[in-house]
Amino acid sequence: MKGNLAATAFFISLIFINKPAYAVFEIEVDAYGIDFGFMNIGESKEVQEKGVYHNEITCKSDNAKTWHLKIQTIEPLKSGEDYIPDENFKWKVVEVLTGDGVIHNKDSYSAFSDTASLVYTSGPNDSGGSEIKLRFKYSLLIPKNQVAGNYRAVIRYTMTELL
Amino acid sequence: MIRKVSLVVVFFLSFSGVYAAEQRFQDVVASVVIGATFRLSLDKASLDFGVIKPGKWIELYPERHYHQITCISNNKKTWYLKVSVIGDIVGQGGFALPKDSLKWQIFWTNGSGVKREGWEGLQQDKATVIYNSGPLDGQGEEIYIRLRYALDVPGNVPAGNYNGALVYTMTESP
Repeated sequence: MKGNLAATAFFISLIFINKPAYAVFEIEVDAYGIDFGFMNIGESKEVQEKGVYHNEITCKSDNAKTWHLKIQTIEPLKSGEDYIPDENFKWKVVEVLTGDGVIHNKDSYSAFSDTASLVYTSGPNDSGGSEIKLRFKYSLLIPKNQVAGNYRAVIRYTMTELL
Repeated sequence: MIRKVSLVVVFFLSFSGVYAAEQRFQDVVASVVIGATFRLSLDKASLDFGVIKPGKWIELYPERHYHQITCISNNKKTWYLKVSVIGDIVGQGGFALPKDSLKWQIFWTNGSGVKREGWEGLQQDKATVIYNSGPLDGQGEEIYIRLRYALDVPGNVPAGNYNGALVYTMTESP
């Protein structure tokens, strides 16, 4: 029994030792809200409060490994029991600063989904510790048969080494 | 023996560079306020019965509806469609047709509400509820109500042109 515990502890400690203490793997968002304001049924709107984009996601890694940025809805736009179908709520990458990776579905809007969609795959120079900034804008179309109310969604941006 | 195997496995995994892939996330809230819509529209703004002899009953488009009213509400509240006449249906010399000589009937609706069945005459002094919305009628869908009209002309009516104004009202008050 004691031997097994010792082996487990050794295993865990070696795993931590194997990861460099100085490794950086970070994601930051510069604005925590995407507010479409007041809209009527049948209306569509784009939000891009900072000119050509709405918010900026900054990713930083010095792991020297390929990473990916993904996006998804954790909760759809919802008001009580009513919700706006995800196909009406879309995102688009407007530009990437300093990165040399691949923007997936570049220059076109993609509908949100509750499963993570691939946004960006890092390039060879994106994992050396420099900041890679991705700028997004968003669009929303209110269906003609949508109930009035205050709707709210939660969007998740995930930076991961897993595809 | 088991312990030795475990240690070998641990040694192998640890120094072969295997560890959990990194993953971080950030959440952002999106929001929108959808305004209430409460709207009524008609596809025709007039009823013309043409020339009728006194004492006759005439229907507009007897085989189908004459016009369609479209109601939209996304308030999730019950609403009512009412019809009334402003003033009288007046002819030359001030003679007025009885209001209930103008008949209406709901021909068809896609709504889930309650409609009046059969021919009904307009009421003398108040609006008549012609449709009560149903539970699915307040969710923003266009609800179509198709109406037919008839005129039951009394036999003692002087000849002339008779005019009146009908008002359709969509309201949340019964």
